[in-house]
Amino acid sequence: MLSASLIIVFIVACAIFPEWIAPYSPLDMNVNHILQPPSAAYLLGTDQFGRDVFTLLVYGSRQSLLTGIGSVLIGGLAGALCGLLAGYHGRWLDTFFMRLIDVVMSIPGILLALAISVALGSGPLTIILAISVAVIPGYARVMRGQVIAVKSRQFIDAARAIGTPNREIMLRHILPNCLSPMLVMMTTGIGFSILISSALSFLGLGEISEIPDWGYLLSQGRSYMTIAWWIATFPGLAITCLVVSVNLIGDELRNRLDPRNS
Amino acid sequence: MKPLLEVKELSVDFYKHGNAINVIDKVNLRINSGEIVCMIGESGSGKTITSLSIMRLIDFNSGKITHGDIELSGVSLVTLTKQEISVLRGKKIAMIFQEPMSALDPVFTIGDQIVEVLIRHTNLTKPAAREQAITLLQRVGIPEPEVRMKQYPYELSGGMRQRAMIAIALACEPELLIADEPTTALDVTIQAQILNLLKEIRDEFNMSILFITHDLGIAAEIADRIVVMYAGKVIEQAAVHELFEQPFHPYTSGLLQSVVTMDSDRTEKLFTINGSIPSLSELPTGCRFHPRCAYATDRCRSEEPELVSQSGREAACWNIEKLLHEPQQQVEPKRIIAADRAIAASFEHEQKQRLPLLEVRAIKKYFSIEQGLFKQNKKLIHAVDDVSFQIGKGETFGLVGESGCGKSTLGRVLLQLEQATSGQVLFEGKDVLRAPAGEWKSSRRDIQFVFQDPYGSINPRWKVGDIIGEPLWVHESLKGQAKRQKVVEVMELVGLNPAAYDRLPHEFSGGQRQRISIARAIALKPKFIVADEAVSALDVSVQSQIVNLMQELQGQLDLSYLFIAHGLNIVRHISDRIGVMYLGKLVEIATTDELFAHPAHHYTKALLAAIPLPDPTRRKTFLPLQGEMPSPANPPTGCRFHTRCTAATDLCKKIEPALQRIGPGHLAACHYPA
Repeated sequence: MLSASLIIVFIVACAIFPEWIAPYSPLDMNVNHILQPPSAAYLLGTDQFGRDVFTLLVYGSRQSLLTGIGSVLIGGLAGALCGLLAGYHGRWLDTFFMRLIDVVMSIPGILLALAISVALGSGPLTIILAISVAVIPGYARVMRGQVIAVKSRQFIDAARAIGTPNREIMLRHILPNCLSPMLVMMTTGIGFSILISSALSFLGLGEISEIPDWGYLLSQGRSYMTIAWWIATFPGLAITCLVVSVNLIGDELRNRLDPRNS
Repeated sequence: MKPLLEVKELSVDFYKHGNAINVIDKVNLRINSGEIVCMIGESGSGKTITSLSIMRLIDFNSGKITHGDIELSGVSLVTLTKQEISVLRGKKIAMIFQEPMSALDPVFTIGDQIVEVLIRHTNLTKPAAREQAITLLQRVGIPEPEVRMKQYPYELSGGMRQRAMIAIALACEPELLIADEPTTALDVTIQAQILNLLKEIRDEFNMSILFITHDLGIAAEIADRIVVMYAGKVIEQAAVHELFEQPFHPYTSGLLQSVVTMDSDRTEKLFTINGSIPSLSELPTGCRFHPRCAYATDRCRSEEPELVSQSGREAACWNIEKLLHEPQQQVEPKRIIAADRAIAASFEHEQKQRLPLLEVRAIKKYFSIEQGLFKQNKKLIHAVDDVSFQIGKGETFGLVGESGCGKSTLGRVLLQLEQATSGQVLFEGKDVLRAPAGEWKSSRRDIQFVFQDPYGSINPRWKVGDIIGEPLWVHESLKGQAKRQKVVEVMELVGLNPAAYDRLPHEFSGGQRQRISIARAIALKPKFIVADEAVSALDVSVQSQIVNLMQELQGQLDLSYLFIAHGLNIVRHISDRIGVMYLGKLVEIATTDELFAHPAHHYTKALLAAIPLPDPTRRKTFLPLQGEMPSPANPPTGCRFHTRCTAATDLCKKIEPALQRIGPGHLAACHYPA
């Protein structure tokens, strides 16, 4: 738990003050030192342009963190809202939302993201939005299922019989009892979002800046895997570290939210 | 004679997060062959753990046998390997559970599940096993066994499922049958049938039965010997007649006095044992019962009593002598039926004079179910069918009937949780079901409720104070200090410590949670409370505490109750008048004493006769009611009870009897009232 928080703090620090942590500039291309293995000078080695992989990771953390967390937050919130309304109201609203979600699910995520970025023009925000839309169905379905389960519990009847308005039943009774699975899904979703964003960058969507994000680094490094394993491996490790740490913190959060453990 | 099963000083620990908690401590138990031993005790006393340990199923429940031995016909079960014990399970020891729906595998047919056991433990071929399975189903009283073989558990009623479970358990004619609360989930009439079946089986196969129950009535009905458990220890053990005549342990004595009998004095408060069973992680020192015991001395507080033998029975108490020499308070059963009739007559007169608080007029509630691929078959479930009654101010009206009779649906209609198909509910003369949109909230103010499940009816994430204060917040927009002040007032009224305001519900026991529910119900000072099985989920000793509380509050706050329950003894104690429901219809209404003394409807009679009496000298010799309640989707013509009624004639099959006055304040819907 402590190491997880330390890792998160470090990654966030990288995202905010990369110039304080990175030993080089991400724009430095040292043509004399391309594809160098990790050494004292280049902690995690250099890539095909002679850039320091560690520096690239430090600078890339901002974009990765933003896409990862941003898309999960937007997609998760939108999905949770759809699921909450559909599950609680039921009947035609449920049918409406669920069929809409079926339609979204039937379009491949990449294609959907492609369409959205074409419509909105490329940019870092577009990637976040595109991924958010692609992950909404998953969250909406899980939330809906959870809401339906909680809705049938007797304390909901109890609230209704007292005359508690629907909005309050939804927000104060149902929502807090549905958060656990959403939290788990969102914490694992961050890594998934980072990987999708790399796929999108790879397709030329989103903004290709001089500073690649982790996903893009990973996919670029793949072609050098046999001669320079470090280019793809370290971004992969970075994503894993982030996901595992966020998961651990998510677990802890869920435990804290469980009334039995407080 | 060497006993069939001997449990010697058995201790079991549970492991949770690396900590060991001792759940049963040095339990001794003997069962002779052909004997029915009842193990009684409140929830959390370790009855189920003991039974699971005998089956060695405890290994799968993160439990571990840490001390002692279990011997089945001389073979120690504790030292057997997993393979060796699994050969014995089903063959020598079999088990039936409380919830037959969850104990049967839903994706296999009943037939497959019996055949599986037969093939595993005997060398029968598949067709032979099938034959045998049909015989078994027939033996346990399942009609049309060939058809049932091909059915899945969900297609069977609760009683039929329990019979199927028994058939599976009997498959290899085990020497010991462990029955863990096998009738708790069933209705009284079905319960009587199952108990009868178990007794027959014992006689036929000379099988031993370890019967676990919390109901002393059942124990009196079926047991040869009784073992009483409390907080993980056996505290008393005696033959059934001896135990009921003279308990040696104060806890047993308390349990016996907590039982609400059918001839108790209804004006008296119910006997209660103070407090509730301790949590196993916070056991008191010395005798585990001492904090609740009236006889406790300093010795009880420091030294733990051992189970000692005394004239063929055993008890673990330092004060047996004191208990024995205390003069027993024999309550004279007061039977004043004649006077009661006069009261009923004057009551009826009074009823005509004043406006009832609540009047239910011809309420119908039909649910439609759609079947088939294109929903072509619309069927109607007649859950509540044309029910009318009145409840006066300050009165308690009991509503009884078996599960599926529509009593809970009726309660839900009154709380406006279900929309009535037709009919009216007049509260102080105003129709609450058709209240104008603006009065939607206020119409819910005067009718409050207490539900059955003390765990499910409370939001686990809310603080106790917020739960109790929710109606104040909804109806009077009270917040912060103002709410706290009012909530603390009601908490004191129901006997909750106001310090509990900021705590969460999971810290409370079932009884305390039910107090929370009651506090919430009375927070707005309502006039009427619907209590749907409000005490059914509680242990006997706690049940009495809650019933007493509800009666006290009734006096203080001038409340009227609709008390919905299937436990007739409690209903009898608390109600002024009782209505009996069968298959969506109200079949009889009478004042309580009149109903119990002169039940007019044949269903009421059977229902009363089916209740197990806590008196081993008055065991039932006959079955009060055969068969099961028909499906409400397809109710019988004429009188709905005619399919099970012994007095039914052709008239009953054709014409439905109306609810008619047959005496002062006594209505019954029967062509031939008894």
